[in-house]
Amino acid sequence: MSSPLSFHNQHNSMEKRNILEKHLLSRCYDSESIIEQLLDTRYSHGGDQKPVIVFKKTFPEKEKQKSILHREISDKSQTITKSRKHNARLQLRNYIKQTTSNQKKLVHKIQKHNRECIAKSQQIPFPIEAMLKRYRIPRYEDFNNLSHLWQSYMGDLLFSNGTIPTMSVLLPKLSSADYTGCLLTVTQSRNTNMVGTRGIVVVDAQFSFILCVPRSELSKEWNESKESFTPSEMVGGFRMVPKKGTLFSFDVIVPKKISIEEGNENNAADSDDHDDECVGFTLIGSRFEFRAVDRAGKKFKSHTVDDIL
Amino acid sequence: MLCDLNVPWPCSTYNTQPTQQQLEVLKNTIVTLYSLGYTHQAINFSINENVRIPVGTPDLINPINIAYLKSELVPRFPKLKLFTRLTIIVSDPSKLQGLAKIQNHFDVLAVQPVNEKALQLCTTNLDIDLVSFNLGSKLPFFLKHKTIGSAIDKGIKFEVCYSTVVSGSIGYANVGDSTNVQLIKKNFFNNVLQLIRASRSKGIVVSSGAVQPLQARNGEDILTLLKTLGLDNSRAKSCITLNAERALISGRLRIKSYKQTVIAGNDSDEVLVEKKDPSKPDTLAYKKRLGDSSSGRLLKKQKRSKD
Repeated sequence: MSSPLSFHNQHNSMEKRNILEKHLLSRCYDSESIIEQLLDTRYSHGGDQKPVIVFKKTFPEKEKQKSILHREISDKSQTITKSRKHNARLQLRNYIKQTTSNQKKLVHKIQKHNRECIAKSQQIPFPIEAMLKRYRIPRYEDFNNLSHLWQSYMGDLLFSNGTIPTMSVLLPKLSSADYTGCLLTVTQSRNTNMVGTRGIVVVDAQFSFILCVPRSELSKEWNESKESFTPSEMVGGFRMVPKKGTLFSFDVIVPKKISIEEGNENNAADSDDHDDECVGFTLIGSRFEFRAVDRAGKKFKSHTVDDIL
Repeated sequence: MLCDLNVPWPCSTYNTQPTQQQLEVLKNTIVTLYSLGYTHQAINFSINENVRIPVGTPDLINPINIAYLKSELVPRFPKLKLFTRLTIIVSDPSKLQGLAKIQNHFDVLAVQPVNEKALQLCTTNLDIDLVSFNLGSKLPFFLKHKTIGSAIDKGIKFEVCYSTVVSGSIGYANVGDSTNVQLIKKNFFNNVLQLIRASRSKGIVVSSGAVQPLQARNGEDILTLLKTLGLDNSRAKSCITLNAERALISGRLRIKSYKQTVIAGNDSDEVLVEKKDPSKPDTLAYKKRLGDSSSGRLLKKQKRSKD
């Protein structure tokens, strides 16, 4: 580098030789042109030929917002491995198992309490609220938001264009809809004990719905004006309802805007009181024995009706 | 619950209207059947396959004036449920392409195949609930178990009308002289035995086909008739209760549901209740207030707590 001639020779191969410097500088400056300029002034006759290079302190670059499709999977922990998937499913299953066994324990406890009450012939109310907390039994109220979400999803799905379509339009949409968060009531079933059970769908499994059912006076349709309840009605929590041979009913709330418009057309007197309107549907469980994912793209066929009930 | 799926409508073409007298006889038949315990009855409109169906005008497709019959009879007999049924006499099923357009206008769809090919094609290709045969005359083909069995697996039922055998020689049906009547009875029993053999005594529906009130029979009589034909008690009973009800439900589900997945409406016994008001869009018929039903009140409560 001492003689100008030798420098000139070096200049031709500068691109190669300055790789290290370039690499270091690329950590400090964003744009390529600034780096070029710096190196040029450093190794040219006209430039200041500084003997030092200033390296700026750098900050980690902010990750640009990319679509999830274009983002590279850099971190190994981000890929969901098969074992992790399995674990999630296992954990859900364990949770449900744990909850149902807790419910059973609490029911036994209430039964025991009742027996003792009868033996002592005195009425001591069972501390149900505290026990629900202690046994960590899911409450129906916790799933209210899920139900609201489902209702708004239904409003978007069915009444998206501001009018009430005919049934022939609604029903195919409902057959491929998602039911997590829907308030289902068992109207008919081969297992007569199930009839009347109602609750918000927590898991839509292939062969059963897992419902979170309300407690006491809300638990069954005919319990509204009752005083005493069975232990399992007091506990609530999760219920597994098999789809086979069961008819479920549910209501979809018509969005207020539409219902008022339609109400004015039909009879003005009805629209005076501001009660929400809903459309009822019945779901045939025997024809719903698919996972929600498979059901979305399924082409349904009519079969023999022998297995419906 | 007893079902009778065949009460013939007096006319068999679109051009003629029933006379007042015919309607009177029909009403009497329905009332007689009702008093014998048949709460669910289907009025049968039977046509040939060559009859042109007015597909363009949906109001005219169903000529049965069910609204009139209901307004006359249901106030007096509140448990009576009336349905409509279409029977098409088929010899060449390729002429029945327009069935999809008319199937939403009748509660039950039936075919009466006159040859073996028609039976085969109808049971495999068409979406029907019932197959009936003209049991009064000798069947021109042999009923194969394979054909009948596959149809029953699909949910199609086979109908036996007993009016041909009970409309005897006394003269309240114009079936001709006594030898003719004897022949009809002989054919009837032969054919029913054939049907029972081919179907392995499953999926048979017994209905009246009664044109006159005197041709109606009660459940006990039918049980006796079927027992003489070799059915055991429970199978004979399911012919007038369970099988008939299933044929009716599968027909109703075609109208009320999307491919038997989701049914419109959620009142009790919804499938068998007619709610359609032709003047409004059909969804409005199922609209109700939240406070009317128990689960609706629960939803309302939730909504309040959110607001």
